[in-house]
Amino acid sequence: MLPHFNGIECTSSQIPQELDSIRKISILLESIGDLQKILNLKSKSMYIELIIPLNLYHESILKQCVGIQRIILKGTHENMDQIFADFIAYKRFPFVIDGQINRHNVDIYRNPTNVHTEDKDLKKFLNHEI
Amino acid sequence: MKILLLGFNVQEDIFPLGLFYLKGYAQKFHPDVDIEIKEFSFGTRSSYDTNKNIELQALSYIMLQKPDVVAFSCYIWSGEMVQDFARTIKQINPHIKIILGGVEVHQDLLTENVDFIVNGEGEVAFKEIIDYLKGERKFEDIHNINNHKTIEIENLDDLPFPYKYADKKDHKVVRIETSRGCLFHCNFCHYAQGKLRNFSLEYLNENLQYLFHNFQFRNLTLIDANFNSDKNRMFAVLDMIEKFYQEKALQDVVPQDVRLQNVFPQDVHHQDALHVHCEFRPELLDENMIKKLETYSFNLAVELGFQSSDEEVLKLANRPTNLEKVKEVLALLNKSTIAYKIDLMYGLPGDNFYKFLNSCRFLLQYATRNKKITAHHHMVLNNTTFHNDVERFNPHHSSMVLKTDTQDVLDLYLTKLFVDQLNEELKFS
Repeated sequence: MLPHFNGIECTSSQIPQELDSIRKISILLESIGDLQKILNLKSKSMYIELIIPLNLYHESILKQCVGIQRIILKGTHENMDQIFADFIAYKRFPFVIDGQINRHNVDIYRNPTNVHTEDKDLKKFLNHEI
Repeated sequence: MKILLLGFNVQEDIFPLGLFYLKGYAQKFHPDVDIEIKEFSFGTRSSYDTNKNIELQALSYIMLQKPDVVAFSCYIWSGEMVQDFARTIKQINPHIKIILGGVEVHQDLLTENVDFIVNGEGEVAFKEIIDYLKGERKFEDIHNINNHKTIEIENLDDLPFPYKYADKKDHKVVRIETSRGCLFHCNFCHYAQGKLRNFSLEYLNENLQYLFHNFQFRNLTLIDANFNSDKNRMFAVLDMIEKFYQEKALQDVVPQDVRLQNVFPQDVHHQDALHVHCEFRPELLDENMIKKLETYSFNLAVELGFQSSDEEVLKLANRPTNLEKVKEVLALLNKSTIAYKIDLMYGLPGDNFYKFLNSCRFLLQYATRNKKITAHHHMVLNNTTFHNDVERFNPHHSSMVLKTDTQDVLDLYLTKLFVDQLNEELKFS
């Protein structure tokens, strides 16, 4: 559903120097100190996906990340509502990796064949039934 | 008698077709009445909420004009505002009669601040209100107001062509209707109420010629609900537009003496190409129609009403759709030169997040020339089945759906955010 990611994937400590031919990049944030490096990439007019581990998440990151095309949280805990509310306040759909199987989990869009669920409508969606 | 017809609009420089229909029809019977149309544009809804200057501007205008009657058109973006506005006008001068019309009016708005609520075709009501105010008709004999009997104009050719009453001759967008009502009866649609009636081709030929000869515009929108529901009629109208467009191009570009020579219209370079927009029902298109549509020299842009790919949602909306036929038509359109976009709606009864995703996926898969997902938030319009059938659909007062049988406000807002995200992705795909 969400287009497959045909770019490069890297961690925030290992962003390649040469990015001129890169149109899409997915970056796993390893340290808050790397954030500015990632924000500097916005000037390169490429698609940026930022993956934020839950232990590094803070609302202020969303504020700084205006112009980053997709933000995904890595990890989950019992009550994600407060964080999801932050995402909504910044007009972003809250995506999660390694979370429960529901509409927030990017696996249902990227790897539907690996997802198992009892939700009737989600099953239909995963099986491409229209 | 002096009457002000006021419009509060989001977009500027679009010909106010409805208000001019009212004026034209009323003046046919009451040429002595002074009817003035004035539009105020408040930009976005948020700018209205934070800045009420438009209200002050319009009220000041009314105070200086000293009308006997003020009529407002109420749409989704102005429905709530005009209620406040009506109250303020009555405070300024309680003798001013106030008429509310448009798709967003309903009987609940009939308060001490409002004298007439138009609930059917406005031309009839407006003309008969003037009859009444002049003492020529009893109040209870006025049709299409309050809870009175409603009637429709049988012969649409009785309506004077609105553009003949307009002084301003250049607009970014002009709009015409070639019919009223619709073949279909979708539960969300305002067009579904009345029976389908057509303006005659003679009326359209005469008046399109007038429009092209007297007005400057680059966008012509045909506002019929499903312009392709009668293909012969559709092509007859498009042929007229082509003819008058060519004539106008020739007139504008080629000097008089050259025109006598053998200059074919198709050789004339159109400096300001005309864009013609219309709404189609996709299943009613076929290969031959698409081929013919491609032959026109103006830029044709079609908007295809689709709403959902989910059978249950479509059934509840009373909109049976042949998905296989839609796929075929989209494949043909993908190969054609016709610009198209196809619309979805979220917040319909029976729909949910995953069903809506399926609808998005249908478009991503089959509407491959569609550069973005266009998804409209379902608005419950007054006098539609979704509004009136309280037992089945239990509508809320707000026209913007905030809750359905299957979704709450969070579901709906997440759907909107997901569509925004998807469109961001599509820019890079």
